[in-house]
Amino acid sequence: MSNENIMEIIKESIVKVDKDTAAQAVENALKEGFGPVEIIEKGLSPGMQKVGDLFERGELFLPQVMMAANLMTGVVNSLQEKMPEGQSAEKQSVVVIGTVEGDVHDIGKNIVKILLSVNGFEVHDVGRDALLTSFVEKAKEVGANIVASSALMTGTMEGQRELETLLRDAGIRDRVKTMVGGAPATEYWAEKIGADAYAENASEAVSKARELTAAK
Amino acid sequence: MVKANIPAGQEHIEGLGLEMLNNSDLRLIHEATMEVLENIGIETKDPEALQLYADAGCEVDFEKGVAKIPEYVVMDAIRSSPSRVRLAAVDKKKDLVLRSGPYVNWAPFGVGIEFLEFDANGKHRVRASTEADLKKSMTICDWCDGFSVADPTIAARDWTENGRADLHEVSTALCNTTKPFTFGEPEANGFEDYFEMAKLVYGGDEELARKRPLVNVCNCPTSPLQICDNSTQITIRAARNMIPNVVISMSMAGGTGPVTPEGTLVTQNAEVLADIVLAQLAEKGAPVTYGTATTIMDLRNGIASGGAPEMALFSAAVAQVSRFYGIPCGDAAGCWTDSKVPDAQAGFEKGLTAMVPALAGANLIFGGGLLEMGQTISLEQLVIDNDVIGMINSMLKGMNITDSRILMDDIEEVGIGGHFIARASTRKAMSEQSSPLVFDRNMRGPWEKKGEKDAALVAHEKVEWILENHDPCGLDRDVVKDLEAFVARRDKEFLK
Ligand code: B12
Repeated sequence: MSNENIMEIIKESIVKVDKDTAAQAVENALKEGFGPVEIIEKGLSPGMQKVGDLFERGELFLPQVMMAANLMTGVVNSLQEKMPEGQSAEKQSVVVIGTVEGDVHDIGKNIVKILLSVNGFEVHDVGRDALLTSFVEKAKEVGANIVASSALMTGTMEGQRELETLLRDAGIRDRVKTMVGGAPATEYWAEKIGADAYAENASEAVSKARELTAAK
Repeated sequence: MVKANIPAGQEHIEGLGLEMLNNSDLRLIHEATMEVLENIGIETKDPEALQLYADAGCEVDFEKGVAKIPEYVVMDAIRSSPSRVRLAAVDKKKDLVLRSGPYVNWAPFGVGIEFLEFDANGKHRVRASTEADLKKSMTICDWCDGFSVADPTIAARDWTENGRADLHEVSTALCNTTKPFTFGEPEANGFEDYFEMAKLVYGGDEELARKRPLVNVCNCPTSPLQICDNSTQITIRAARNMIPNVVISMSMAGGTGPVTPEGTLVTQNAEVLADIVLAQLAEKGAPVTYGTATTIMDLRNGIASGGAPEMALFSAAVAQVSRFYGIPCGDAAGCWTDSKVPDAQAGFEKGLTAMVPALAGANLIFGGGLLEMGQTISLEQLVIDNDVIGMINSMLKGMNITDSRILMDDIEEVGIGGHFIARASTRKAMSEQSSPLVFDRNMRGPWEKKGEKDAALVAHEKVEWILENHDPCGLDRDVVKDLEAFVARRDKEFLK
């Protein structure tokens, strides 16, 4: 089996959410001498990338994306155990995401989270109705590159502005980029409160996050 | 004049109706719901709510915040929930009594956050809604005779950073309709203020303000099977003050509920009943209504579809389920759409989702003015929906086959040929005919002469006419001033 071929099989197994084929192909790849990192970077990740593209084009539905993401996480976890000490996949950009205090709407936030992780971001979720301080603490703890907040109500979006202040007070605002979203947020709102980016939907969130981290 | 409580054809009542579920269906839904409440329970972090559940005999895990509610507690609550809920209006004659029978009434949608601005050329653009937009919307809803209530449809977003937006909304509502209304986004700790404002309307009469509450509230459980703190507190405070509380589950089949409508009907029933139980535990006899905005999650993009036929089915089912429990059904989603503008998609989806719950006899169907699943409000759409409502009300009458309605005398007298146009019976029954305001019933010639306008453009002209000619305020000038001063004081405190 050629190298490309085996990576292609792994990639397709993610797209098709085919657990057995994924397990088999990964095992074969390891036997053929591929390293865990190579398998993640050349097989699994491009698979998830394709899932994201297909979702954006309306060819895959959310449940398929979620199942693919679960499969990918499972396989990556099992590969991580096999990784030699000190070696790891290329350090991904780290995102802390959550829905602001007072707001329980988290469906949109969850979709953004999935698409970000599908596209290679390491995402930490502080949940919904999340204390603004928990965004800050989490960001410090995981060394976040991006802090992303979601607000679905006109009455709670003020939290996105407060978060800017809290990040500044904690002295980490210049180390992270901030991104805001949710139905009432706009480009103008982001500008006004000094956030670095706004995205209208999940796929735009991914491209904005890429821009933000490329610029770092 | 508003037409209230239009009966849909059910049981002995004449008219056109639909019964999608039979008695064994309803029993099955009920039993499955009791399974869910007894075995899985409902989650809330509010210690006061948990204590109320525990004191009533529920099995409560205070650490996890889960209350398992046995059937007898649910049944007690259902028994103590009133079968009639009065929504009091500034003008007493416009009070709406929601009755748990197949009696249909209509409400606009609340609360959107974007406003669709329309110009005379039929062009539109969307922007954040303001207090001024809300005032216009109140005026239109007050004027349109299809709406029995005039709920605030949009948020006063120009005040979110500058003051107490919620109080601006309540005050704008109180000053710009004499119909009853429900405030869609109450803050649990705003209750004292809402009460103070109602008191101002009653010239300081505290007893009247308690007896005839003017600011009805609404709250939504969080699917699946949770009620957030703000909601539990709204429910408890509304109950203790005997303020009508509209409980609306917004479950999304395939997302926050099981993918089958049947499964989601059960989980949303558990959510609404758990909330109603809480209300009755806080105060026996508290006025509550059973609402729904349950629909499907469109699994291509995760949105809550407002124009889906499944939504119409949910609302129709909820009309029956709530009637089964003897609790008025309101607000049930209908006259909804996913469309962004008043176009063909809006017309069809609205007609469809309004008609089915109406036939099922939902007591208060809300959706007027709504576009984009409730995100956006359009004044033109409000006026168009008023026509949709009028036509459906006409349809609900069905046919009433009696000798007196067959008009045999007229048939004999006119005989063969001739016409009925000039008959006394025709003139008498003229007003029975459906007669939409903006839907055009001319042939092409006259329509062309009038400028070839589509419904949205005709509606736009009607909107301008209403805003120019209709004064919706039922309060004395002094009361309006008092309300404004009260809100201004709170704004100042907010900014401090
Ligand atoms: C479902 C829903 C609920 C559910 C939430 C369930 C859940 N687990 O999330 C429940 C029933 C719990 C609920 C409760 C309430 N709701 Co609600 N709810 C909605 C509804 C119908 C859909 C929201 C949704 O999920 N959309 C689908 C997702 C996919 O879209 P999205 O969230 O916009 O996300 C996308 C983008 O915005 C973006 N995005 C989102 N987050 C982020 C973050 C970042 C960083 C980025 C870059 C991008 C991004 O990407 C996403 C994917 O494309 C909306 C109306 C509507 N049609 O939008 C009302 C709505 C948001 N709710 C509203 C209200 C008023 C309430 C309540 C106060 C009602 C009440 N009286 O109890 C409570 C609030 C409780 C609380 N304290 O938060 C109002 C808000 C009005 C306002 N003034 O802002 C709305 C607009 C409905 C209405 N018009 O009345 N609600």
